[in-house]
Order: sequence, then C-alpha cells, then structure tokens
Amino acid sequence: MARILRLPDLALGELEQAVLETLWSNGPANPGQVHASLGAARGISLNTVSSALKRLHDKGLLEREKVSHAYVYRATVTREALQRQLIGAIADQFSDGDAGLLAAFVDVAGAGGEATLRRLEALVASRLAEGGEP
Amino acid sequence: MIGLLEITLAAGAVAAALTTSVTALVRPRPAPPAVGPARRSARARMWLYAPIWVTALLLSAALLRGPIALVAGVGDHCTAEDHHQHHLCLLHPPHASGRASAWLVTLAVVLPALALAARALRANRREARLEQTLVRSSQPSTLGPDVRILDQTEPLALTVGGLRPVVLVSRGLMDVLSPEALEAVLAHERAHAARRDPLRARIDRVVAAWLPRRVRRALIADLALAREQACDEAAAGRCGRLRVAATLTEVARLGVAAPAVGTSITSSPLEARVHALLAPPPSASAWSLGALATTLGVAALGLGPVHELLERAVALLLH
Repeated sequence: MARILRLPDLALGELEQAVLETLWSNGPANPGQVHASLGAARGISLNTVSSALKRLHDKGLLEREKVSHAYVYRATVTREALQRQLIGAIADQFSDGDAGLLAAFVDVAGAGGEATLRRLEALVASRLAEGGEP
Repeated sequence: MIGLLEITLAAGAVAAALTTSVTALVRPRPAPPAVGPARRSARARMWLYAPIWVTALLLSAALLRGPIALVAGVGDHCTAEDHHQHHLCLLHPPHASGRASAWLVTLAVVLPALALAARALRANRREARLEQTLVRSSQPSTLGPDVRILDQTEPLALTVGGLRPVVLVSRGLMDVLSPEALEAVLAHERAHAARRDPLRARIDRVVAAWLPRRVRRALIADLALAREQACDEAAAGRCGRLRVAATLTEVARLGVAAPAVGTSITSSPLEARVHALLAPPPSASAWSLGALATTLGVAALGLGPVHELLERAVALLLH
C-alpha cells in the first residue's frame, strides 16, 4: 500500500524524476546501475546519483536493501499512484474554496448530483433525437 | 517630485483600501446564468481588480486635470500661478512635506497587501512545482506534442502550466470515450492552453488575496465558470454545440466515482454549461452599459472630487 507522501516531498527535481523513471523502466537497481543508465548522458557523477537516490528514499518514494556492499533501490509507488497523489496535492493547494486551477474538463464535484445529471442527460438525448444541428 | 510621489502614493493606498472595502461590503454575486462568458469574466474581473484599476483611474484623472484644463483652456487655475494655493498639478508639483504622515499611510496599506499577495504567490509557486512533476511523470501521446498521457484509470482531462501549458489526459478517459467525444474534450482543453487560462487564474488568485474569503470565493468561482464556458464555446465551434453538451454529460457520468479535481461551485456549473450549449451562442461582447457607466463615473470622480480632496490633503500636509 503506497505511502501518502507529504506535500513538499511530492515536488521532485529533474534528476530525482529521471532516477525514478529509470527504476520504473528497468526495475530495482543499485546506484552504479542507475548511474550507467543516466549519468553518462548527463555528465553527472555517481555521487550525485547516489544522493538523488537517498533523497527519494528519505521521501518515502523508494525502498532499499543492502546487497553485498551496495544498496539496491526499488520504487514504492507506481507512476499512477504518484500522479494521483500529485493531482490531489495540486487540488488541495487552494482547498480554501477557490475553484481548482487544473481546468479539469468536468469538475465532478460540481456535477450537482445524480438527479441533475439524469435531467441533463435526458435534455441532451431529446435534442439529439430531434436530429438538431449538432 | 518627492512631494508629488508622497501624496500620490498615500492617495493611491487610501483609494485601494477603500475600493477593497467597498467590494467586501457589496459582496458581488455571480452574474445571472444567461450571461455569456466574455461578459461574466469581464464583470468578475472588474470587481476583482478594482483596487488596481479604480485607483489608477482616479489618480490619473486627478493628476491630469491640470494639464487637460491647460490644453482645453478651461477649468483649473493652474496657469494662474497663485503661490499661496497648493495645487495638485504635474506642472507645479507640491514640495516634500518633511513629515512622515503620508508615508505612514502608504505603508499601513502596502505592507499588509504585500504580505497577502506573497502568500498567494508562494502557493502559486508550490502548485507550479507540483504541476511540473506531474507533467514530467506523464508520457507522450499520439495526439500531439501538447497532449500527454496520465496513467490513471479514472477519466481525467486537465490543462496545467503557466508559460507552456500542457494538456493531460488519462488512459481511463482515452479508453472509454468515442473519438468524437475525445475530440470535443481535446478542443476544450486546447482552448484553455491557447487562452493561457492557468496563468490568468494564477494572477487572479494573487489579486483575490486582498478580499475576504467569501467574496473571493464567489468571484473566483464565477471566473472559473466563465473560463469553462469560453472553452466550451471554442470546442463547440469545432465540434458542434450539441456534441460538446453530450460529451459533458458523458464524462460527468463516467467520472462520478473519480476523485474531485478542484472544488465545486454552489449551483452546479455542469448544469449552467450544458444549458448554455443548448442555447444559441452568447454575445461575444465583454462590455455592458453598466461597466461603461461605472468607468466613466470613476473617471469623473477623479477629475472632480478626488482632485479637490487631494489638494486639501496637500494643504494639510504642508502646514
């Protein structure tokens, strides 16, 4: 069961995200392996990659176990779970009552309930049946 | 010059504070349902940005009265170089008062305003960073470089980002919608991106920080509805009004179990949007007679009473 992350932890740096992507694509890995996937292209050191892994671990996004002399890191959240938490966090930013800035196509909470939805569906259906100009 | 700055800033601060108070007291209600998005949005913004535009207009009119009278050859006695009278005039600005009073008045208004605005700016920044992470975690789509995919099974379509807006669509939405409905959703979201709605909303939010919560919510909610309706109209231009209305109810039906993204407005925005789409297209004009009259009224206030008031204030300060 994925941990609910604290708000500040959810905003990830570019490197942190790249590291997470690598672990999602390639599965659990140690710093050396992650660095091999990433580091060369970015010209960053193994140390930098290790720090990023550690940060993600501290934030609760990764688990690790010691295998021989190195830690092997594994993602604790799926892409979907992370995205869900991000969306929730963004929506909460202004939960003070300001309408969400996410410009979601339909704000489900604003749909007004089942009765309203049925009425609207009936209205639309009757117009469609009239064969009106769409 | 300092004298002019001193009095202008203090006057501006007082005008802004008074305007905000008036808005707070009046508690402007949302525009009636039949009002089109352009007018709805203009009306809400007129209230929201009042501390800025009313103050700017009042001061410009008050300060420009002298030069206008000079050019027009009537009215103000600026040219009559009466050195015992303190005129508020750009050509003969008052000298500095050497007192703290005017500056204190300015600070008494500006400091709290900055603190409130700073809070909103910080929230905007936090949101921007979260959105950045969200976009980076999304995957490219076949629908265009401006559309990216979220892994969610719930139906979601949203537009995020200030400077480079991106449309995010969930797999869940893409899997269940018909091609026509998907086209309508994308047209709507792309309209948000083209209009830079996320950025506009962020700026609105900073200005809204100066108002009490209830008043703020009502205005922001009205602006949100106006935004959605404007993008519904844009989508309707491509796909037809009925198609967009049908897509709205279709997505609402699908999304009933989905997490609420954003908070709800008191009278269902979905209902307002569907009814608006089933009616003929609204007028695209943002200006109403009322808005024009208000603007002229404020300008007249500036040219007349506010100008006189400022001259009295200058006289008071310099004695």
